[in-house]
Amino acid sequence: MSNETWTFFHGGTLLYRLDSPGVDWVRSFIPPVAYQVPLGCGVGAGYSGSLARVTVLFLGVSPLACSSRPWMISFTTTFSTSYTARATVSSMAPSSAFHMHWRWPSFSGAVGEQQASSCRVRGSCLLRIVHPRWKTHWKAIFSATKRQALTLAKFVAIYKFCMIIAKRANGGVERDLDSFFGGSVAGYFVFRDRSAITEQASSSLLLCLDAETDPGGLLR
Amino acid sequence: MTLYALSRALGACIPRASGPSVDVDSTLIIPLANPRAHFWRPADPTWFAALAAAAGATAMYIFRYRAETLHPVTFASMLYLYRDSEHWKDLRTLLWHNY
Repeated sequence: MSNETWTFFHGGTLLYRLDSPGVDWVRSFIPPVAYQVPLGCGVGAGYSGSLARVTVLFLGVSPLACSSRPWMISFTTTFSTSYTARATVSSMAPSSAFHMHWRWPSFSGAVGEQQASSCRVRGSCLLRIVHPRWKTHWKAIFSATKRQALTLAKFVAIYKFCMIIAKRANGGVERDLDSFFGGSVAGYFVFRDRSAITEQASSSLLLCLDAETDPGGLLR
Repeated sequence: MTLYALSRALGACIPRASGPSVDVDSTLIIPLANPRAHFWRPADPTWFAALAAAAGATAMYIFRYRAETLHPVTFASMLYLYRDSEHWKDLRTLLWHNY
């Protein structure tokens, strides 16, 4: 096989391509073959070319699965191999002459971002997409949790501020629609910018409304 | 899953930017470089902000006056955020434990 393409789908997370040199992979993007395998599974294929070009496209929609979570790609070859780093690949470290294990921290692209590298491969090549490093994994979780907590804190602060203002404007007496007013102001200022976090929060608020229309919980 | 699908369906009702419709049967065959650019038309910012304001306003009104209809998990978290957090007597009840 001189030219092979693999496509990995895991909730639409990652797309992988291996090309022979000189191929305009952007124009000839339509792959001859697309395999749908779970992320983390190994896919083996023979590659007889002298130079392989590797491209990873991030297609995911989940913030944890894509935008802030780098993936490691493990290459295992059965013959001695040399390689050259290009483009955005920042570090590659073979563990032995017969077994390469590359780490590409730069593969933490945003949705739709493309990152590429080139390597020389003789003989067959086994490609595997493995789970991200634990440190990066927990860092991404912490970052998303912190962002969500700050978003919620902003909502609560604006809501309470509006409630205080409305209450004082009415001589210290709370009116029926004060909470409605405070919630609308807070919702507008905090959740108006569409992002994964605010969309999730809006969905959660919509679920509150669902619970209201389904007090018996029959839908759940 | 029902509630998740319902919220997604409601969100999909927001007016969106103009663009071609997607033929799912044909586009699934060819993976594109950026599916969000091809498959997804973002919601109109004004309408999305209006939805966010309406959702927040309705949720807070329900919590204030019809709390018995909220889901217990939602009610518990909102109770902590909007009532319990307003009362404390020392650092322990301010930072760690409810008063």
